[in-house]
Amino acid sequence: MKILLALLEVFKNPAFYGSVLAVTPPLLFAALGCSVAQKADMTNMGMEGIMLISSFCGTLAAGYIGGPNPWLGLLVGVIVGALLGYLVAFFNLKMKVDIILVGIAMNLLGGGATAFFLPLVTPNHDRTSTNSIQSGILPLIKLPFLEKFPTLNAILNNQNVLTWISYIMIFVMAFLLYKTKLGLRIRAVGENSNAAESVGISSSKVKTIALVLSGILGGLGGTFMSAAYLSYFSNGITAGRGFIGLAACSMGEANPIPTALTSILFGFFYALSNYARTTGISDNIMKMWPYIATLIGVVIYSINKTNKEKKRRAQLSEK
Amino acid sequence: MNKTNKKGLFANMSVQNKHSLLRMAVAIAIGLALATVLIFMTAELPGVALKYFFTAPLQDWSYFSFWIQKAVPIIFTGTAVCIMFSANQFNLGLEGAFLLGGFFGGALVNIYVAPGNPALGIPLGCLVGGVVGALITFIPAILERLFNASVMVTSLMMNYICLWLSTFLLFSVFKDPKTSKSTYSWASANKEIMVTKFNLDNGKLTIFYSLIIALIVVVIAWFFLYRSKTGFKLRQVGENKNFAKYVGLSVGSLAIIAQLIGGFIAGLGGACEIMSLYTNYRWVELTGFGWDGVTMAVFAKNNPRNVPLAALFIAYLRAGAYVMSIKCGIQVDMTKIVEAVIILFLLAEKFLSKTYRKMIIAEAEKERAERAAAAAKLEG
Repeated sequence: MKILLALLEVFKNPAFYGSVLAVTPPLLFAALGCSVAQKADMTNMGMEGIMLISSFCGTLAAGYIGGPNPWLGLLVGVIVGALLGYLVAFFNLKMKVDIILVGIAMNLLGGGATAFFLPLVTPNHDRTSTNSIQSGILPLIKLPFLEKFPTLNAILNNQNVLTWISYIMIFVMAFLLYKTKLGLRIRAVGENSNAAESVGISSSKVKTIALVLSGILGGLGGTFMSAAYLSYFSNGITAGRGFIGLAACSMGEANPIPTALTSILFGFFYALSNYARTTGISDNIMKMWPYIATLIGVVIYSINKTNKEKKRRAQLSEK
Repeated sequence: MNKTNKKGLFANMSVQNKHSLLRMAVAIAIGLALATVLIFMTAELPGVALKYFFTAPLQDWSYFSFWIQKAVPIIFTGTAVCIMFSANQFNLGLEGAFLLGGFFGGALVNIYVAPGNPALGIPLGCLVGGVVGALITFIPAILERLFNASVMVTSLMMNYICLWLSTFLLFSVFKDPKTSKSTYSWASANKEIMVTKFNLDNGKLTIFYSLIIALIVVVIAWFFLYRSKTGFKLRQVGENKNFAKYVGLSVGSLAIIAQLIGGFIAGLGGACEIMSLYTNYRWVELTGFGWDGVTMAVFAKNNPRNVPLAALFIAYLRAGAYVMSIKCGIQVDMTKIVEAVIILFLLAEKFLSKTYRKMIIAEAEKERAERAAAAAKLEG
């Protein structure tokens, strides 16, 4: 009972919803990145590794070139993400390595390379995080007119610029996938690459583009971790967010808007685990919730899909 | 993974094997060359660092023991992944199975069920660890069977659920109030049974009896996959699910069996790991051995028979890197880079494909020449 009241208190607090919005972006970027690749029938298992490496490179660029320069860090993070996306495409499409195993290798590389190079490139030979370089954080967006509405103010004001970009990206990706020629091609290749080839679309080219886009979104997500969520890079900073993105993408059937809603749901549980201490629930139990929610979500989604399929078949057979 | 050309299987067998060996050798050579370059780039005394990296486990009995210690858990998880991948089940939940197998089987059984009774505690711990592990991989498996939920996604989630569940249980229920983050200790007699230590002139030699358990598991797994009816069916499901369905195999049950066995082996591995290394439980993060299992399966081409060799190879690199990190301050994570690169080149079908073509042509020409010679003989 006490715990329920404490939870209610958290839910009443507008700052909680602000924190939901602030912890969701890396999940959202990862999920959108996985979904654009998934639409082209490429499971980007390596999202976690891509995020780690681009976060690392972004932080270094931001710290070393022109003092704390987080915008440059963002640019470098995105470029590195795109290159890694291309690398995944290269090994899968040109060298014919199974896409899942390329992803696993990418994750190994991500964890290994960042931890290996970290002490070599930081002035104090840091072993766990880039404490000895100042990489700064991206600016917060101040909305002075919101100050009259305390609730909205607590939720929306002073969010990071990359947070806003992440939510805008939902609509950008939806537009890209459903209203542009490229999007049509990506979906066509994903649905049936032979049919797409037969009308003159190069499936490997389209798949490569989809993976590069996925890498760019991973780069944004990685940079968010080290230039907005925290102000430094540390080993394993993404902490499984790439995998959560993969799960959100799977639940949202790789469609941007359902995928984004699922990511926000995970963000909700992430934020809740940060508030665990105030409720008296063990924070370890709270940390479990996003994953349990995903598990349940995937099951519910799959049941729905199976039922729909059954109905459709029943209708077809009636005809 | 290795797509064999059914038609020319017999004629090309030797060439194919030769080529796959060549590709493996080249991939490993690239990985080791990369390691050498990385060491040269980063070490103050590259010669010394290289010597530690490549020879340390053979120089000193304690490093040698460390090598074996690193190999045992990945033999377990590698074998587990081989069985699941042979049936084409991408269940990635072994991290969780290994962790909880260690927690329930290795630790809790010895603390609460059979305290001070290693004769009961060790076998029961192995059994409980295995059962818990099987349960962990069973959940994603049954969810796929019942609801068609993606095994890959649900098993990834299971890993984190297991991690936070065990951390919660450790800190909130089973923690020894006298310590900051570990359970009550169990009798050190258990550990004395699992390992034997010898003080030799050249360091301490530790003999891990869990290695014997691991090798027995490998033999049973190989026998199961390649010499039993169920194993044959499993491999059919892995090679061609539709074909397996049409010849009347129950694909769903076979997939679940593969994952149950995989989880059991991983959980057993976790229990053995805990019982041979510690006298209390203190894991608060995922061990990484589950992912290593995937690496092992790739190296071993999904055949348990090859797992011990693959595990010894990777463990050798890790032990060397560990010694190098202590002596020369180079991060152990270097081996992960090397592993990733070897995996990519090992699996790349197009890598050295031109050499493969040349080898086939050479073989065919040799054969033709032999036939022509034989024909000439007949005519003559």
